[in-house]
Amino acid sequence: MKILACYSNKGGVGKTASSVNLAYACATSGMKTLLCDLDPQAASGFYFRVKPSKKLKEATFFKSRKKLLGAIRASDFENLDLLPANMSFKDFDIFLDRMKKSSSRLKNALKVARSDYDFLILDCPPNISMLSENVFRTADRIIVPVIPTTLSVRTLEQLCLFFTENNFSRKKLLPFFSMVQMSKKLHKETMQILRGQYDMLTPSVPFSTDVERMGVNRAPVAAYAPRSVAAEAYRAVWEEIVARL
Amino acid sequence: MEKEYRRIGFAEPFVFRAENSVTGSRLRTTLGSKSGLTVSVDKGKYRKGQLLDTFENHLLKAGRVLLTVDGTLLLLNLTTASVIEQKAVSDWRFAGDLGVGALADELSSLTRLRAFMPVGKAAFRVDCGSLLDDEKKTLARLRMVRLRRGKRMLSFGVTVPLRGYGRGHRCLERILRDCKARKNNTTLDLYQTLGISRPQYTAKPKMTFAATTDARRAARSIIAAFIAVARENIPGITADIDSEFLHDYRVSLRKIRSLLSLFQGVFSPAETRELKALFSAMMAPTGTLRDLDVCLLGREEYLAMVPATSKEGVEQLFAFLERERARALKKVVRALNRSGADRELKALAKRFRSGKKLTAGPAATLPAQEYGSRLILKRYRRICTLAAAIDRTTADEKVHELRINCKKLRYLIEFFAPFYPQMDIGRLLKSLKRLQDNLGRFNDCSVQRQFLRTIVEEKMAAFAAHEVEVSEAIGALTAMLNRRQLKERRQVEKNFARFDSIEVRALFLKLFSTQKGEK
Repeated sequence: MKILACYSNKGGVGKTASSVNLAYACATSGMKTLLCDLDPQAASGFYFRVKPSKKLKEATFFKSRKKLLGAIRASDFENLDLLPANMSFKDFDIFLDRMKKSSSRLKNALKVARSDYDFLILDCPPNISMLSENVFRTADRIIVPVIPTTLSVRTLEQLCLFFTENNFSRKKLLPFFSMVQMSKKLHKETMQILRGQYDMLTPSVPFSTDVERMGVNRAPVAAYAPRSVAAEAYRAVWEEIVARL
Repeated sequence: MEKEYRRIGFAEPFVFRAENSVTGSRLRTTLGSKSGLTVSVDKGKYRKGQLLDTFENHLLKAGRVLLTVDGTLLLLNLTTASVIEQKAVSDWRFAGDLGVGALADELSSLTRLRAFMPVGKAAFRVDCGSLLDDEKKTLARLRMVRLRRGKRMLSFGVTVPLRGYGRGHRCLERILRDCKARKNNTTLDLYQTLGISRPQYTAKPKMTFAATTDARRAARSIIAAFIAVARENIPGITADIDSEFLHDYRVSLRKIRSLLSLFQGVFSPAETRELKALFSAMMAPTGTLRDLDVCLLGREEYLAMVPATSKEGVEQLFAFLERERARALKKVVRALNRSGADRELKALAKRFRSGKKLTAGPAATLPAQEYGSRLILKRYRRICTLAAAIDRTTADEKVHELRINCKKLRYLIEFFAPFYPQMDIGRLLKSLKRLQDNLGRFNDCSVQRQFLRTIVEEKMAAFAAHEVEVSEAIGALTAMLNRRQLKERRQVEKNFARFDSIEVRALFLKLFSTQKGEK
């Protein structure tokens, strides 16, 4: 089982949309996929119409394998299951802080799913915390959506610096451009500069109303607009991720 | 540890059948509106087609229905309510004729030797449904195959549980049960329910005599049962539907002949001789056709065995064998018609059923089970003696003798199987089968080599312009068969040792020992 995390320490960059659409692309390629929502806002679950888990409260996520497995829900799409989040996930850092071997807790908890799935995709909340350190340790690759704007670039720099300072392998990082508006000069210029500085994925995902409509349709883009530019872009991003694994 | 958790969140599908009662509106009414849940069912369109199956109803027994609809084949799985399609090839009859495809693979896994023939007309449709929650999330799915023939109708369906939605699945199962869907235990009555009459053919009829029945009555009952099997196959042989008709015909006659020699003393010696000669005479005209069938069935294997340069020769050889087969078939059909095989078998069946015109031998009154046990143990010991003497240097004839004896033992065990625990008999037959398969393959190589030799010695004139290619092909095939036969020969000792295990020996004694202290 390969674990991929969709992560950025900046909010609003399209982490959840990326997690959902990449998980869908993964599942449609025939891989058994589990999308694990670590964000207490539980937006991934909302997109799949899956209600927040009731029994996976407080530290049970890390302590009870049985409850973690019991909280997994099938989506309406073949090969794609979901581990929905709930508001108690906001206190993950507090629970982890109280636990022994806190830095490998997430890895241990997720081991239980390895026989059922080919890919596990983590939708992460936007912060640098004990949980994100767990994510960096657990994931085989960290997919980082980057909007080609000044603040996003700054965030990517901060993340790379954090990886270097804490001895995480920077090779794990797979940044890609998200919510791109090619009509904007700033986006174009920023993309050019960043491609020179970082090993960005080649395909980029455009800003699209099709993606925004996910909240209305409550499904991945490719499920209701399979030929849209956004759906094609997510597919291309997924293919490059697989090629780089 | 992981294993323990693996099934968490999974429910068992409900495999059901229903008559006409499970429809979308009926399910919705049963569910009611209070729960906040809804049921949606997409009705499929009816498609009319021709049902197909083999003489032995392979598809029905496997819970499958095969239909041909406008040149397309559709295979319905009644346990999973799934459908696979494949374009039909014109004039196809065997799974192998269909080429590559999931449907062809499924049919091949059921039978490669039996022809698929029309059974009757029917229409079918597939309905798909879902149970949804208040946010329109699917909680459980449903698939249903509905079959219709005139006014007769029945549905087979299955629920599809979704991980983590056990409660939703239970709800769907409950409303289905409320709509009179019931657990589907069998699909065997499908044709009957649709008003299609089909033969209930089996090549291995169950024996219905009691353990205390006298040996003569038991023999009569077994022979009558196998005469019935032989008779059922005659129309299939004359219509040349598939090679299994002739095979089963010959096997049933061979079993009768074997029984007559094994049950020494049940009938008078003169009558035994007369009956054996009679059944042998009935089998005799079919030998060449069967040999040709075996050869032709191995076509693909033969082609794969030889180098590319010999393939053309093999094709020529097979074209010749096809022509020979057509001739042999004509002869068999003529022989069956001329001798009135069916009429003769019917008269014999009557003779065995009534028993009045059969003279009793000295062993006629022995109880069947005791008699059978004695014969089985005797044959088993004979096999052990024969096999013990076999090593790498033993002549092939001895291996053939072992094969014949194994076959006889198998027949005996099968005749008397109802008197013994099914599981024990299953274990014995399984261990015997491995050895028999090995010996059978050894014999096939030998028969086919001999067959090719006859062609070289007597029939080469038939190839005229292709004599060189065919000679080369026969040479290549003979070499391959020789190599294969040697390989099989080497495995006989190993397979016998497996058969001759302490457990099998103990089981033979436990089941068939008739005297105290017999070892």
